[in-house]
Amino acid sequence: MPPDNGGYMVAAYAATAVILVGYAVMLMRRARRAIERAARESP
Amino acid sequence: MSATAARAYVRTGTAITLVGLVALAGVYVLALKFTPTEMRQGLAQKIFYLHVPAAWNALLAFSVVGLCGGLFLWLNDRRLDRLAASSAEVGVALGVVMLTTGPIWAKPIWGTWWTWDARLTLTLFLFFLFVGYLALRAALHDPGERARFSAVVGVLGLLLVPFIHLSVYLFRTLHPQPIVLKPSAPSLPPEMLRTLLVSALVFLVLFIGLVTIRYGLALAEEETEGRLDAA
Repeated sequence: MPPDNGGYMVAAYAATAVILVGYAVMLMRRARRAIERAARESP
Repeated sequence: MSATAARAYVRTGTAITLVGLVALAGVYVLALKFTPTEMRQGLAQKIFYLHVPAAWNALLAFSVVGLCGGLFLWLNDRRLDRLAASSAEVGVALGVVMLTTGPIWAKPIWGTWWTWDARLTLTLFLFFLFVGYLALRAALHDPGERARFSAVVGVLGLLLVPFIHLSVYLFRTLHPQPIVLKPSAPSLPPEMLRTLLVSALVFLVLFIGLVTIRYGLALAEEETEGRLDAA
């Protein structure tokens, strides 16, 4: 009978999703702002 | 011109990242539904399918920083500096995944969240070194100086990577020895090995996608920075 430790697995899977999706969204927003700024300041 | 190129990098990177995130959802299904549960460790062992690919790709990212840093010092090509900076930031994000999932896995298996053994301590040092790398880049305003100084830090970080891989052989440690990246055949049942390799590939796709977006961001920032300096 395997030990009952599924809560740790759920925590790790949830944390990974939050970190990766959060970072990807933050990076896309930063990139969009930087491009808008570069385009605005172009002659 | 650079804003157009930056936009193309960000679009391509976003598409690759979205594919990677959807594939990551597929890895969750594959690991949770179609991969057997290990009898001694129970469900906590399934953390392995995220922790190990995140660690491999974080080490790959830090190796890219070091290699690009070394090549930049030799060739003085701004693209190498941009790629190094992008890879460092994504490596730190993957490092956060590695250092979050590791202790969550360690608690039910080792009975402790953390232990100061060689593998864990060296990995934490490497992570802090690249956090320092990003802080150094943020603190320096002269682009040439920033690229040169950070290249040296990147090369020093690269020197730690083989020590981390070999630390489980060189020192007494709680951390398991490599079960795939070793001279002999992988010591893992085929279904578990398949899930691990699929996950590693998906993390690699995410790494490439995120680095491509970050490269476009760096290009756009350099464009604005150059104009502000010229004004």
